[in-house]
Amino acid sequence: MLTIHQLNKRFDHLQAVKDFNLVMQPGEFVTLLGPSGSGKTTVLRMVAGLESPTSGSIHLGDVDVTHLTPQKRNIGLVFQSYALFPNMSAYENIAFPLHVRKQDKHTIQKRVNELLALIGLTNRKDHLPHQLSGGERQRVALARALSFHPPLLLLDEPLSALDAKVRQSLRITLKEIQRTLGVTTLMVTHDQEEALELSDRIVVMAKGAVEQVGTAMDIYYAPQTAFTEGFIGETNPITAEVLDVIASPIGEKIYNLRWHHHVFSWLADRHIEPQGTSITIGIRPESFHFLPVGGHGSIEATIVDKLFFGSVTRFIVKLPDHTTVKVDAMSAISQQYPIGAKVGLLITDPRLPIGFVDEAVTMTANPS
Amino acid sequence: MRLGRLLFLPIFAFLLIFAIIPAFGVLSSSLTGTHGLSFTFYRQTFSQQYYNAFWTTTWLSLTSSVLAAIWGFVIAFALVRTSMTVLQRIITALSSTMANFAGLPLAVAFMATLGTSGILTLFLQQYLHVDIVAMGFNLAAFSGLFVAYLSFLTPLAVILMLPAVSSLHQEWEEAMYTLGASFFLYLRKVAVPVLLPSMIGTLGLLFANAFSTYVTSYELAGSSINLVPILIGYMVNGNVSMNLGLGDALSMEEMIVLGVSISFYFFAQRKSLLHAREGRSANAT
Ligand SMILES: Nc1ncnc2c1ncn2[C@@H]1O[C@H](COP(=O)(O)OP(=O)(O)OP(=O)(O)O)[C@@H](O)[C@H]1O
Ligand SMILES: [Mg+2]
Repeated sequence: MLTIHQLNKRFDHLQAVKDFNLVMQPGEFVTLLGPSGSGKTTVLRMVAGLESPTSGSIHLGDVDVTHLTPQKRNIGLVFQSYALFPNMSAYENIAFPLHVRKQDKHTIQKRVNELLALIGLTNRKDHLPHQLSGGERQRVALARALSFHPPLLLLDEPLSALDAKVRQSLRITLKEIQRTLGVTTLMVTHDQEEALELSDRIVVMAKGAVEQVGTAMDIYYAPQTAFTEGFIGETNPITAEVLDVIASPIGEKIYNLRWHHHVFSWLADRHIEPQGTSITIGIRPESFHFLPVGGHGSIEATIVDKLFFGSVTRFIVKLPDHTTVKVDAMSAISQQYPIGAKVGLLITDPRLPIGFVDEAVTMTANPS
Repeated sequence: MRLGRLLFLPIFAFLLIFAIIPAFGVLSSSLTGTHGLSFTFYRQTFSQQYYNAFWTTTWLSLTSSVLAAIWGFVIAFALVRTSMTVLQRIITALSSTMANFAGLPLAVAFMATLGTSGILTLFLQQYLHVDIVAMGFNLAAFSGLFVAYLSFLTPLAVILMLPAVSSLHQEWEEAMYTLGASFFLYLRKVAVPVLLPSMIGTLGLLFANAFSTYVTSYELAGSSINLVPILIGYMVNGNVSMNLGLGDALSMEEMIVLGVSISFYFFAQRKSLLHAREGRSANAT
């Protein structure tokens, strides 16, 4: 659907985008995620035709659009600042691209009313942009970008100017609309939660280059570079002893590891190789679990601090060797674990079936 | 809050002494005949000569300010969009200077360049064989004043339009392109409609400025053109036709014209969408 090959962009002495490659499938929702200045917007603008690449190519289907004007690309773009025309009502804004395409009155009316219903703004259609709230404006901008049935929709931080509550509900709206219409979507964001929630695939960018491409699960649980690992969520780096490597039912490598006498299984990350008999991996705070002290195969640990985050509570837990790890648990159970309490600590890989530990290894590791 | 208002006192005092009191003076003397309250002077202004003067002044001011406003818009638009920041600064600075370059120096400068034996006139005649005098151009007539007015109205228009033009969002233009529209459609459907209030406002100020221009027109044309400010000048300066009461009546009428055209400016400012606040919801207004 969209094929971006070796795309580069230089601004004077600044390499804003470096060797960017991406192939998108029809109907796919892909997100460019990265810190400020990582070149996300620049990629999007080059796809839209608002910026011309220094080198590389962009294909839409079989058509090479690299040097086409934005008018000829027929791509929908939603700006962070909405960019609604201030002198046109919501209705007129949405109808505008259809007027440009010289569609007949009846078709335009039907399409615009359909979209107004889809975004739930039928009763606001005659309002000017400044008479609409931020969320309403963004929905109008979305409808305008979709009204002419573009094969590709580009979104530049579409929700970042909105407050948390509106952002949450608009995320759902956005995903629903995208699914309903099946439009291929490329979104830019620096909000990792948004990216993880909405995307089929995520492209993590740093300093103009792609760090990693993968599903939300891949990116979250198997970050392939130190940058991705540090950028998305929190991790506890741990060094464990490799007991065994086995093949999973679908052919992936699974390590059986031992850490502080605790034996657990971990799906192999392509880039992390054991060094000798040990391996360093990043464990998400919510991949740890508490058991009663002395619980089967667990590590004896002490809770030294608790931070209430709302639905989850973060525990700072001290291990026998006096190092600490961060552990997240549902706040509903946090009452059972006061500061100073002793607990049993376990690690489970959320990508593996519950309780997946190779029995033979468990036996050899715990010869009790 | 109260203290803040006190700070305006000097301005009010200034207005009172130099604008409001003199205006009332003009008003009362224009209404005072030999036997108290009288409309004689106003009745006199409704004669053919003064009617012609108002007509000529209006026509000259309107044509020159419309052209200046269009030019000003084009220049301001180009200035905002150019990436040549040096040129931008030079033209902006030049505009502020030229907008204030009027009166005697301007008249002299024009006579030296575009007068019957001005440098440019002679140059055109000798080297390009274009005889602008024979073509009807006369610095002391409508055509000459028109060009002279443009020379200070255009830079004034640039300065007045610049803030509005520079607050056009680049995204509006880019959105237009991604939706399939051309640059001209952007101009027609967004840029011009959005700027229309400030264009009208600017036009109001330019018109008022042109209508009340006195020294420049007097020095260039003197009695050879029938303009309201020049007539008023004759009547209050005590030449052949000294007639204070009539001059005051004409002044009052001119003030009404100026008041109307300036009120266009205020009205247009309030209509502007450029200053509509972001993030306001429909029911919160
Ligand atoms: N027109 C331009 N001229 C010069 N430099 C530019 C231009 N546009 C972008 N840049 C630079 O290119 C780099 C990438 O910018 P870009 O806007 O793509 O980043 P981004 O990932 O979208 O960041 P953000 O999250 O802040 O929007 C930045 O360092 C920026 O300063
Ligand atoms: Mg950006």
